[in-house]
Amino acid sequence: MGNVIMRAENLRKVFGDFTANDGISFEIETGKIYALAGENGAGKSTLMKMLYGVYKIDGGRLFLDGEEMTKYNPSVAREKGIGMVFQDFRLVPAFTALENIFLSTDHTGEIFRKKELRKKVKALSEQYSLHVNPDEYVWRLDLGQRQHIEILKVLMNENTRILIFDEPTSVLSPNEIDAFLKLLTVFRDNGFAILLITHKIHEIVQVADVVHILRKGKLVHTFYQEEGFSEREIVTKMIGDQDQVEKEELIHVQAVFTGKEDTLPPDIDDRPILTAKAITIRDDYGRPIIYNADFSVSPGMILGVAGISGNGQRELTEMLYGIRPLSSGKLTMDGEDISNFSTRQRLDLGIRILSEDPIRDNLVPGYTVLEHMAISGFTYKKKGPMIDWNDLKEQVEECEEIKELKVPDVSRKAEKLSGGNIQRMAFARAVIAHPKLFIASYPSRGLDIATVSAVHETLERLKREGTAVIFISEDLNELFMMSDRLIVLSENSIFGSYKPSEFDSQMIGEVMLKGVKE
Amino acid sequence: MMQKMTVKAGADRPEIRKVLMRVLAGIFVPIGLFSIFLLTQRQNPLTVYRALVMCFAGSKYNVGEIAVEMTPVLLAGMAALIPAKVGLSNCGGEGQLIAGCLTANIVGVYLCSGLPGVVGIPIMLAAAAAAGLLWAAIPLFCKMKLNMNETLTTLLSNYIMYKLVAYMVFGPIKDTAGNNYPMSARIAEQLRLPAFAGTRANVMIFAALFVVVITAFVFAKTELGFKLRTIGGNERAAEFAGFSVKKARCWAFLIAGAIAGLGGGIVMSSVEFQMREATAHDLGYLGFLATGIAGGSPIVSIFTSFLLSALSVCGTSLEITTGLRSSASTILMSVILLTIFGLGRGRREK
Amino acid sequence: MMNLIENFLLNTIRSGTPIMFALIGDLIGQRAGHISLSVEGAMLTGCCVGFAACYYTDNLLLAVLLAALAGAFVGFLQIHFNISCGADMFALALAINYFCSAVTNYFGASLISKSISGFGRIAIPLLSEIPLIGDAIFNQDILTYISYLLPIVVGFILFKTKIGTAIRTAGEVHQVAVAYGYNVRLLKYGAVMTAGILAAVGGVQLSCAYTMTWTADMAGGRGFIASALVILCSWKPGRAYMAAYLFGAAQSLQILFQLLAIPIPTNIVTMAPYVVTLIALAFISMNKNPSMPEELKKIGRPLEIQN
Repeated sequence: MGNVIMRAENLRKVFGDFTANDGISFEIETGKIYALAGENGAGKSTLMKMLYGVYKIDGGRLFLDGEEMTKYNPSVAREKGIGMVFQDFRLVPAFTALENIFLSTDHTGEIFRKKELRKKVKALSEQYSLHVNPDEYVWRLDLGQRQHIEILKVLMNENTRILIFDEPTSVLSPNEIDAFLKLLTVFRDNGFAILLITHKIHEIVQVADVVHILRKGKLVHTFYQEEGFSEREIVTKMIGDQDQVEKEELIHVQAVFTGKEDTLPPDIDDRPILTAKAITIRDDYGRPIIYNADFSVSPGMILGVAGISGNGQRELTEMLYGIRPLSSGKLTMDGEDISNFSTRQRLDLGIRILSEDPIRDNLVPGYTVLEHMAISGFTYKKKGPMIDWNDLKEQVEECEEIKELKVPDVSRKAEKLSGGNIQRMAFARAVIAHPKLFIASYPSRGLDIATVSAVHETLERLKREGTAVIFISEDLNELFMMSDRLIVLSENSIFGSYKPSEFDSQMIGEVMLKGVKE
Repeated sequence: MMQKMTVKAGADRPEIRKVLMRVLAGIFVPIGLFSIFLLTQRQNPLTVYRALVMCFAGSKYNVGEIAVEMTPVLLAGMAALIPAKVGLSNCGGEGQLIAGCLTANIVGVYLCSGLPGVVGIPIMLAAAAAAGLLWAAIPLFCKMKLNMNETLTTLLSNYIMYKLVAYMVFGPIKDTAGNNYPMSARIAEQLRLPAFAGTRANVMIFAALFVVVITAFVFAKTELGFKLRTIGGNERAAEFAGFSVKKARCWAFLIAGAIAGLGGGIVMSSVEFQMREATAHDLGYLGFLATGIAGGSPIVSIFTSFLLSALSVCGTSLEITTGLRSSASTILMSVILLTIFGLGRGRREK
Repeated sequence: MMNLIENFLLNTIRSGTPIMFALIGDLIGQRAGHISLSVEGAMLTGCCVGFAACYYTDNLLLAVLLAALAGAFVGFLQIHFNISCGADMFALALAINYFCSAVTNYFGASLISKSISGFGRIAIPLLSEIPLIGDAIFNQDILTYISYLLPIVVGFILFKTKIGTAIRTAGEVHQVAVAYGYNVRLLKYGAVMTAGILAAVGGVQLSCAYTMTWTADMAGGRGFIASALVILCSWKPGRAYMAAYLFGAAQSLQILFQLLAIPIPTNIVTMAPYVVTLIALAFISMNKNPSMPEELKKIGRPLEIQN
């Protein structure tokens, strides 16, 4: 135990005139779990890519086994024993688990010998309890199982000594997270070095031996297990600014929710604006991903939607918005049956949406931000058959919400904006219209804490103004914090709605995983 | 899952220098390559090029011929461009144009032979447009209801139209007075578009240009055009904005078919007057290709259509002046097309 | 009657061969994420080059090699102008086909009514004597025999070797192939040029073994049909037999109808291959194509999202 495998000395990475990483130094020993903490945008991802050879190191040096790495790339990294388990799963959904493993490893030869490979994979599966059916198509597997395949891929390489995990728990349910953290300790005890990159503080606190904090590209502090550390201390170092920490702390610091107070009027559930009865929604393959389910939402309420990714969140939002048909059942808004309404009709009723993937769903290549505002969100004036662009530009530039959410200059091409800015643009556009029903699908994803705060504030403001908000998120604590009612998508059903007093991490986690037996 | 977002895009405004380089390359590379070809055919490149230029600039008659060729090419070009703007790929302009040509002949010979031109010609042309529309409706239906790839269905339907024409001219519409050759009867004199003195050109070139200019205006300046371009830019974004994507696409495709059909009707009424197996072949493809190198701009397609039509027409006269087979000009045309594709300003993959 | 069926089967197989070549070729290309409608031009070029080589040199191997070279060039144009110059896949293909047509029409003019000895039929002893089908399957030219093996060989490469799996990955999730260090550009160039080569060799069979003549625009849409049939095969090489000989049968209907004195005009019967292809395409398109390589689904979609 305790060999130094990797040593980083003043690592630096620059993109144009933006410094993503600066002066980062640390050591990695076998048999220890290292956490690399920091909020979104702090530079964790960039650092990791340098460690794995994806990005060239602009300054400083990297040593593996005491040898300086000069011509470093992922192949060399793998050779030297660095195993990277990616967050976005470098898997081909159309292939089986076994085929994916065959593809990824340098050590499986040129010809696909199924039986041999299957045996090896099963052996590793057993050893580390990474159960997954090797002959199953990946598109059929849930995200937890896909992660297992990613880990197996890395373990197939016998050289592997360091396992790097990039935001591994962002798509897991609370119970799966527990299992995962246990797995990390098993790896550690088997002599691996683990590098855990995450912004989830309560997980770090449970397993890490060493915690490095990244802020604005620099390594600002290191905590050691022997000296002890608390969640609050970690969050403070991560964010720096005390004010912002206060409210957002709840998400990061409070590990376990056991209910909260209900602040809504008692009869609110009797006055829904939208009701779904016995609805069935089919996915792209024709399978009923939500079957015979009910839910409702009232004005002035935030309805949180919890659930493991892939349980119908996208299909549900598409149905509510009119993009996906309702297979059966009824959707009522303000007493009117809107089950078959087109998107145009729903927009006219005051339904707005923030999609889970604004690039895929909102971005038109070649269009400026202004043109995107013309597509939706603002009503332009017309000069005969032509659009009055000047008038629209004034409207947009004078709009409070636009200024607040820091949407950049309107004549820039939208496709050149950063991901965060595109998200902001889509969000601003959707809330401007003072919708009666607003569906926010993963609105905080990938944003830094300051912007997440702003997003939360906007949603609360909408709620105060009487909008019914449906809020989908993968972060259970965020849902607990923001929601007034909660439903859970699981086992092709909708469970709930749960009142704030029932917001219990353990219980809801169970429902997410297994549903509720009637 | 939201993908990480480093979206690449071309430069906002390409430097003037780069554009100039491209234009020059687009002119000189084909000239160079074609010159090599000419040398292998024991032709003097300079003589050939001079003959070509003389042909363009030379006689009023030739200008008229170019206008005659250009009319259907322009229209077929719009038949490719309009669906492309809404994200559909219509390669069936060839078949839709021929459908129009055939229908104009049938309607002209069997229905309008007794009618005065003022009445008969519009009827013929309208029928031609309708035929093009109907022929386009088939691949459209396949796309909308059966989820079939429209590029392939339109291409295959071109071949089916070829065979249909062959069947017709060998059978049902074969001219009984025509020595048993596989060709249809000729349409009556008064049903032929009056030509400008000394040439075969007629007023339809202006109609075609008008269609192109209207198309350009609609897409670039109007609200309708904005919505249509949005559909073509990102179908999902258009759906999310509440645009009726299906409806727009259907209209665009059918209008395209009608325009191509109209082009075919004009061909029948202005130069062909009768239907043979190979009548109006390749005009549809030329239109498609002319638009393909015009970067989505209807106005630019006027110039590319002119270029291709001029070369096509002058190729024939080349044979007379230099002895070079007329099919050589198609080689020049295709080399120009490929060069321009090679210089393309599309997005590059990493 | 027996004779009629034998004749029909013989023709089905012989006319299915060019399709088999082009189909397997484009299948590899599509698996890599690229649709090569220029296989039409490649086949046409193969017809001409092969015929010319047979006419002037009588050297069959040379015919195949030169055709393959020409096909590789066509494939190169298709992939290079698309990947490195950003040209639209379909418009480019049509331009390439136009080019091939122009060049072959010009240079092939002198070959039009010439005849060659071409590829003779080689009977496999014993097997070719099986009643009814023996002659059709086992008494063919060598290129047809090669075409029998294509789906098996290509199937093995695509599914059982690492390079084949890498090709398929390039066509499914581009980024994954890149992430694993594969040179995706090289894979695509290779796949599409192979498509061109195979289509061209199919063209050689068409002019030098089947028809023994050369006429202008000889391919007559076979390349497009082959591309469409790739979809019918659900991108699985094993199904190529069904698809290629479905075309062959549709092509041979003429013989059947003539000899059975069915009074459908020739020109209508010659529509059969195209109509059959459309129907087959309709049939497979209706069930939401779960086997379509993901990258193909992205064609026409605006943004390249890169990690």
